[in-house]
Amino acid sequence: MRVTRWFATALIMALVAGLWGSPAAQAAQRWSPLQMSWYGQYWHNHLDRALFRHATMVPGQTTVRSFYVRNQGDSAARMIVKVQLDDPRQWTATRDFRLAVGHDNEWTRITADGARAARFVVPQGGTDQIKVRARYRPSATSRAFRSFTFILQLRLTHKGP
Amino acid sequence: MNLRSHVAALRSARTRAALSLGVVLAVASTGTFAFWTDSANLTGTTFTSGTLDVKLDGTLPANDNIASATLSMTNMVPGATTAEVVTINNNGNVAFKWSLTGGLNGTDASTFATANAMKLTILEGGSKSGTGQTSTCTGGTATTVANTPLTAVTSTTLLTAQGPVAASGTKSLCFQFTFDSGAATSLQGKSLGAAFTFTGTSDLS
Repeated sequence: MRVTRWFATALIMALVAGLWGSPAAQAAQRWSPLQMSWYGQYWHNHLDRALFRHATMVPGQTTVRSFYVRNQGDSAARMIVKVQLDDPRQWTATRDFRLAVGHDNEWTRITADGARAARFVVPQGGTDQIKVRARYRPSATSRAFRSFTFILQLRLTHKGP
Repeated sequence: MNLRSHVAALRSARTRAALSLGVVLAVASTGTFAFWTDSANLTGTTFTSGTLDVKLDGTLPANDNIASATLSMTNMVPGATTAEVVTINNNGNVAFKWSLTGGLNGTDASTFATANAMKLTILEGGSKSGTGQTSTCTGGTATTVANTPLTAVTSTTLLTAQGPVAASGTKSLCFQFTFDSGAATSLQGKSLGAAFTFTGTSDLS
């Protein structure tokens, strides 16, 4: 009987291990419905470098950067863009600084708590451009040193038929 | 069925159940692709407010205000000149463009201004030549301030949107004052001063 139990356990483990390591499962790990691209030409599962390169802001400066997302899933899916802010000095909450996320000519201001910046449907195989705009008001006079960090969180969800 | 056979049957049933669960798991794990969620994060950056700091003359950190004794002329006569090189320092971490305002002040500033008797020339990158009341600016690049009569208003605009001066960069300017050679004798025994203000802006347009 011990042999039977050992055999059954081993069989289950082998089955699970076989599924996990099968070519189909490996392909599923590499495959990602959400694709990203800087210019809409070369697509990746994720983008390595930061969205903005020159991040020292002075009054009167406006900087916009954009990237593209693509839905390569098997059907239309919902894209949700959130912004995770680390803004201990509440710079984004002042009148001097505006951080906004844009999609389809609509801009959503992001404040210190972060926000659900955009929500839209991406058709199967479709692409969309997402923009982020930082604006330092020309008349800003504060000489206090300020700094904040942010991360865009993208989630593409297909709820099935 | 004795107790031993009964236990064996139970174990067999558990084994079959476990195997069946494995099959169910296997089927489920291959059938979830119709319901998926995919996430990715994109690093934005760290935005930092830049610092803009205009300093004058010297190794950083230099000065916000300087007073020149070199430019002073005592008992000046028509045609006398005096010169000095002033260095603008960018003590901030962003580039700036600069502007200059200035004019005459002191007891007899208005008298000199009305007579257009004190004139200023500024050369970018120019150097001082000579000494005393014959020192002049030479070389460098001419600016729009060339033998320009100074007014009695120290907020008068002299140069605008100059530069830019890069972060930690410098710009040297040679200032040359000339007591007009045709100054009237009524300006004898008078005294005056001059004041200038450099203003930096991060607006590089």
